[in-house]
Amino acid sequence: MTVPHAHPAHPLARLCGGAILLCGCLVADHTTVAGLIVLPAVALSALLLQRTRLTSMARLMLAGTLFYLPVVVLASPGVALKGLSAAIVGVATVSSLGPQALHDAIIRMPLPALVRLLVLQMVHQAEVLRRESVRIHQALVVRGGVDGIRGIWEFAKAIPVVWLPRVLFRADRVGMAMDMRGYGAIVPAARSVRWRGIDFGVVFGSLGVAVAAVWFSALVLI
Amino acid sequence: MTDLPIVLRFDDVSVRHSGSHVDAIHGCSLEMKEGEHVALLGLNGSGKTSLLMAAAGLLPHEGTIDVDGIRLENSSLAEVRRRIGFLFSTPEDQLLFPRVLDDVAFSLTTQGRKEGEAREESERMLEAMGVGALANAAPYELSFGQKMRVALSGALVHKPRLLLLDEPSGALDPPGKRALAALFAAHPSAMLIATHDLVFAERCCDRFILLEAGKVVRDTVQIGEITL
Ligand SMILES: Nc1ncnc2c1ncn2[C@@H]1O[C@H](COP(=O)(O)OP(=O)(O)OP(=O)(O)O)[C@@H](O)[C@H]1O
Ligand SMILES: [Mg+2]
Repeated sequence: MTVPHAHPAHPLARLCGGAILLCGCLVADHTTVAGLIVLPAVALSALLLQRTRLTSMARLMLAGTLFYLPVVVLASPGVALKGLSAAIVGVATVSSLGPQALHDAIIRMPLPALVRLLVLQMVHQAEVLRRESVRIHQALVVRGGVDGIRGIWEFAKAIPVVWLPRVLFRADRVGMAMDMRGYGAIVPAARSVRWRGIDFGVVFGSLGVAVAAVWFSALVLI
Repeated sequence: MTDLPIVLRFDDVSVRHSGSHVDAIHGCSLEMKEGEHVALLGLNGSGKTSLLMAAAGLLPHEGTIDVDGIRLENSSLAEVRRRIGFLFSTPEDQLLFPRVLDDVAFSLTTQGRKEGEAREESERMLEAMGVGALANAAPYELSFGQKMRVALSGALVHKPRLLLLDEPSGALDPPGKRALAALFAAHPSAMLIATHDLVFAERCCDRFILLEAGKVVRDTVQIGEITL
């Protein structure tokens, strides 16, 4: 997650908007020509609604693409486009919020308390993991003296032998710390938000786009 | 002093890591009284971390462990842990919130304290720990020593009956160590502090236990009797 920036709408409204657009992407029909037109449009509206800075998205997308590449190669173009659009919507939402606003938004989500806690930790640990990955990459670059494409290749090779064991050990230690600190025993209460016009705008704008996308994608144009 | 309640009792405790063929702690017996500050000394690999983890029920053990009068068993784990503040040797793992202040305040709200009150108290704790200015920072943005101070704040703020601290001074600069030793010395909780730092131990502890290859080889109030 990168530097958050000022957005007039409340983080919760932006998160809800992102979630609605994501649903729109996933539900829209990708087997029709209309679907292939509509999916990028949903992704684009996420960028606009979230006012995402493209620079702050670029690195996340690059990292995502590495993992996403097999899907593009193996799947049909429709499925690949659907996945890519959904990824853009997700990344646009998350990268425009930043960790703290995202936390504030999740804690206010109208979801069961335990689900909120789970999502909170997933987000928090994802950021910790991202930074851990950067450190592993740096260590490889410094100790192996390789950079650029070679550096990325070395990192990819290190994923199963360095990254995975580290992540597993880490998960173990974090689990212990959660137990020790009583995380999960007490659930933070959802604090209420006072909704303003702009917040409704973001949510209903997203809803409009999502519904239109689903409807339009089902039209058989040719 | 003798009739103070006992907050930690080990009776012939052995601890073994899964997959290991040797005991990390072997036949260890000890007692700690309320408010007592004990340094757990020993070389690398002597078993300090293993002993702390066993005391918090994070590693399986043989023998018996009592925390604040409660027998440590699966059924009593939650009850025992509510009485313990723990500092892991990798502080990053125990920071669970994206804002420093929320993380420290969490230790108080889990104990049923009101949110506003918890925040104020946490701010004071962070201030005392020398990281008051970082209250609104994200833990990812901190240096190792700063993370250590934040994690410590979260462990100390609710004044648990027993503090189990793994190398709390390891990452601190010299003024930071002095300040921490003074803060510990005045803290009311019983503390078991794993460290190699004899100077630090002398400043804040009134008893010194030396571990060698998982066994207690010395238990004394005279730090002069101990060399590492
Ligand atoms: N996860 C593990 N699996 C197997 N053996 C372990 C594990 N962790 C520690 N040990 C072993 O247990 C023994 C005691 O280790 P421990 O970490 O308790 O030592 P320590 O006194 O804390 O050392 P240090 O000063 O380096 O922190 C060592 O021999 C170590 O190799
Ligand atoms: Mg240790």
